[in-house]
Amino acid sequence: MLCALLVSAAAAGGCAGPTVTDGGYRAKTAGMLGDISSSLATAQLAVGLDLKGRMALALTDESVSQAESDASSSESSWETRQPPSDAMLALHDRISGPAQDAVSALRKLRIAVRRGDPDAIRTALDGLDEPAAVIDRLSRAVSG
Amino acid sequence: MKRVFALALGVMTAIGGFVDVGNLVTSGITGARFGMSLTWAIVVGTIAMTLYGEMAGRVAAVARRPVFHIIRERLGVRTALVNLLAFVLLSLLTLAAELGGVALVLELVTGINYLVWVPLIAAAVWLIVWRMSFSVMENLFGVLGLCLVVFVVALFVLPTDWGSLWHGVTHPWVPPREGHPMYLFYAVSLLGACLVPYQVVFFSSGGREEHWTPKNLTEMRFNCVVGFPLGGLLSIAIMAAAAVVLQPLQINVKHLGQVALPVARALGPVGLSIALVGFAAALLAAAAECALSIGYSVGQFFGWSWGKDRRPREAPRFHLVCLVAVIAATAFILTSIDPIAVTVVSVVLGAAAVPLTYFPVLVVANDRDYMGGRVNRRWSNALATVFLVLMVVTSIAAIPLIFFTKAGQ
Repeated sequence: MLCALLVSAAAAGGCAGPTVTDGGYRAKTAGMLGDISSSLATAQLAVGLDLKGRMALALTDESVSQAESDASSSESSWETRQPPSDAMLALHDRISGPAQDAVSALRKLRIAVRRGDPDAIRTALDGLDEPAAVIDRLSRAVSG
Repeated sequence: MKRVFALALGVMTAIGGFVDVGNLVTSGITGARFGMSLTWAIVVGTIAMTLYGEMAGRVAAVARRPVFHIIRERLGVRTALVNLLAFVLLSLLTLAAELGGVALVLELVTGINYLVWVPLIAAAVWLIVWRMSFSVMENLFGVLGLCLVVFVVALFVLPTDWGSLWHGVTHPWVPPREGHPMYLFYAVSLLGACLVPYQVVFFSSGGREEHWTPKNLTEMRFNCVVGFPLGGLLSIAIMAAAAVVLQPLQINVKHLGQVALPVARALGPVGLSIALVGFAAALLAAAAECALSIGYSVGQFFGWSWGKDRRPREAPRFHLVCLVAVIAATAFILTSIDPIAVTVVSVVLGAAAVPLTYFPVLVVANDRDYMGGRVNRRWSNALATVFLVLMVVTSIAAIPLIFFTKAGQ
């Protein structure tokens, strides 16, 4: 019973709760940007290795699908939070677009990998560079 | 020659058997997030496991009693029942994590969702428990688990900065973005992954299955003293591979596939395939061992006939408990709860429950009525007491850390 409760508590740890302070909202935003950055890096690594012929079986497909799913779920969970002040609302507006662009770029890469078209995969992989740079810059700004 | 072969096989089995889903996941996560700065936790956990594993094996060989038999004798029925319940619940959680882990490996191989694989793997585990002989199970999966040595090979192929890795080992530090609670949570998770109670129960019950006597002590000690530390080295290699490839990219490990990426980078498709075979073998063996340990513990507590090599008609209640455990763990993982989250929580809860299993072993290993002249030496007791105090501190800290860090998220 205790085990089930603790596992449920851990699983619920990923659910969005209320964020009432600017510091808390900033920390959640930094966490979300970190998740997206990690997903972008995972997808870039997996697909980069695949294009060099270093991957096998379904690992590339799975890595990219999971990266998109992680980024998307982190972004949508962050979007459900109410910014606690005008300053945080401005932060939200600054971050929201680039975060969605990153998720969208991952989605394009996942579709290209599923289609198995090397040219489309290369194009979609190159398409991750800009969102990755933007997310990295924003992440530094929010954490710093 | 036959004896050398038996020793080598025993060591390989100990190496392969040491690594399970807890080691794979926690080593991958910590390597990517903390570099090598948590290596000390694997070293401490491995030394403690070696020390207590040797004690449990010695008690099984000399006193001819497995761990849960001793716990009931020494703690009395009521206290031992609490111990049994904690052990069974925790082992069910670990079993669920192992089943989910094998299913995730098959998803990486086939692209088919892991939930489809869970019932099939559960059936395979039950068949292994039911039909495969103890020695075949132990040796086959132990040796296949050695495929994880590809992580060591990968480190030599990758552009590894050995000086930087060593600096991380000898100068542990907390990355600014992580904080001390998160560092401690993952230190506890690594300790818990090395000290999972089911391994001690399985090791000592296995000793009884193989009819160990004092004549087997040298072989048993060799397996412990060489096999477990080499298993710990495998865990460190997985951590180091993640530190070399994933940490610079700031990849936060959330999936088993990410743990294998450093091997793909170093060794390509062949290395990757070997790593996945190693994952599957280590996790499948751990799932079978975990299911058996639940059957062993319940059978030993209630004084039933137990043993893997006994037919279901000779030990019906033992086999029924193993079957029910596999079904319960399968049902739990089929709720679609994330197996990686289950793994992380199970190793930390395991750390909380460790003293319950290890303390009676220490007591009996010092009891001349059971052990005659083969009781613990002074240095061994001093070291075991230090580790026991550490385990108690860890067990007190474990549950608050789960809540405080939201299980490491």
